[in-house]
Amino acid sequence: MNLDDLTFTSGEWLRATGPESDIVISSRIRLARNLAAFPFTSRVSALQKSEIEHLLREKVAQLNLSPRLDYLSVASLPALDRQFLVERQLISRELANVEGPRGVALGPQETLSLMVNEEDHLRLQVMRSGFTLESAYAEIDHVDDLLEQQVTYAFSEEFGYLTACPTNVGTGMRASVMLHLPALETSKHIDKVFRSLQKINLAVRGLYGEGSRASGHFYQISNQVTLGKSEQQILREIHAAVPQIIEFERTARRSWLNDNRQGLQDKISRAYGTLCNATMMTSEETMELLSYVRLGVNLGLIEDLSIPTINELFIHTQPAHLQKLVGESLDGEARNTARANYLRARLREAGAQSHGSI
Amino acid sequence: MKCESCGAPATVHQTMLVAGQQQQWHLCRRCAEERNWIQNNELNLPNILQQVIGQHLTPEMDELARLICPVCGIRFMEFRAQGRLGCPHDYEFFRVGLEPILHRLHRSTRHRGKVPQAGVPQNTLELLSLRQRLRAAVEAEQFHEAAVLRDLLRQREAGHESG
Repeated sequence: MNLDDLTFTSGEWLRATGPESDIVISSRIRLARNLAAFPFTSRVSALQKSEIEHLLREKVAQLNLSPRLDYLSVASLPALDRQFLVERQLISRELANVEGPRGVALGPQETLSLMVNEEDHLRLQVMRSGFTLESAYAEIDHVDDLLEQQVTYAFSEEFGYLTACPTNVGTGMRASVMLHLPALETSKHIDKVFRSLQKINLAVRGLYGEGSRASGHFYQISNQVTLGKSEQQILREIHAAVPQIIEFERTARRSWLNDNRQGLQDKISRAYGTLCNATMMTSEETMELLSYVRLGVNLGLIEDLSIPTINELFIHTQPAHLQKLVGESLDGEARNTARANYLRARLREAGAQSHGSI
Repeated sequence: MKCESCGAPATVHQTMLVAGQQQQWHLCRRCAEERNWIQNNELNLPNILQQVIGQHLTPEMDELARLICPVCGIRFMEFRAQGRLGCPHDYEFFRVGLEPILHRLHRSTRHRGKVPQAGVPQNTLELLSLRQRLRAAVEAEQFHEAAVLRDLLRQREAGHESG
């Protein structure tokens, strides 16, 4: 698999083709698994780590999957490429930064990724566009079954799938949904949403931002409990909570339009104008402005710019992607200039005109 | 003020109220960094709290603190400090200490979900132990013993995979 080829696309899960994709960006399921006959990753010897990588790499290659997976040795990748994979959500920050033999098996559509020697020996992940937890689970469950035929997982009847960290034991499953919630955040109602989710053991995290502050108004909702509930029950609980949040966001957007259409239109137009004209742009500002533009497209206030294009811009303006697109390593200031150049070029190409009067 | 760990001049001072008692800690920078009290030039409060509480032991916890997993060698207190267990056997070996933690995290201590299609794996402890013995033999450069263990491991694993 050629990472440079990936640079120019944005991955299946950003195609915005799934259900509710105006608000739900993607759904993701992650399973944590370990081999029964080895200590956990933090406790194995360097030699054992190599053995584990070799073994799992081999077993993954033997899986009867179509299309086939490509294995990347993350340990051999330069820092920029590792960061690239993190930005694309194909590997975790942990896998990028930890030491020792480790890798990831990827499908060409970037929906399935299997990480080797992360916190656990194996971390399976399926990511899909829109609100599609059920089909994501069906896929990952199938891959898990196939792998189970080839290796012996660490599993006890009492505690379930055994993981390095007790926060993952049992099902080993983390199911999450990424949502775009600009209206809830701006109206400050998002805190209420957080609190009600916490009551039902769902965690909310701002994506890309520090702590709970979301960058680009993106939030990730996921289950916290992995033990004592079946996989189906966990999925049902998220499945029940998400539509309510979607409805809250839609209502908040309608209120915003009703109460202050002019103000909202202006905010969106300014965001769009800045993106089209600025000569230096930080990551932070890009996320925020693109978020308003995305809202504008959803509300029909901006035409001729599509959601998949905006999704692509979100990814391509991230630091590693940008440097790969431009073809050179750039430091902070140079990056900000390159980012602005890229945005201006892409937006000009899209040829969109923001309609000022409604 | 001298560092409680090594006697060098202490520059990191912590005063904490733990279970109604005031406790003071004084360390030099190096010892504080070794214990992960300082990360990125900032005090790592969650870590400090964990370590302090970990050392504020009740008699039961005192016993638990002394337990060392025979397979991977991790101490219970190491697990508490770093948040990660050492090997699959730890769930059984440290069960008494883990159950309250699992209860706090998940409000449950019993798995209710998917089971491997081939059923619950048996004899995994034996495989795990053999593997650790193999590692020890290799590290001690006892290659003859290592070869014997490796063959034994292969046999057992082959038997395992064919059911």
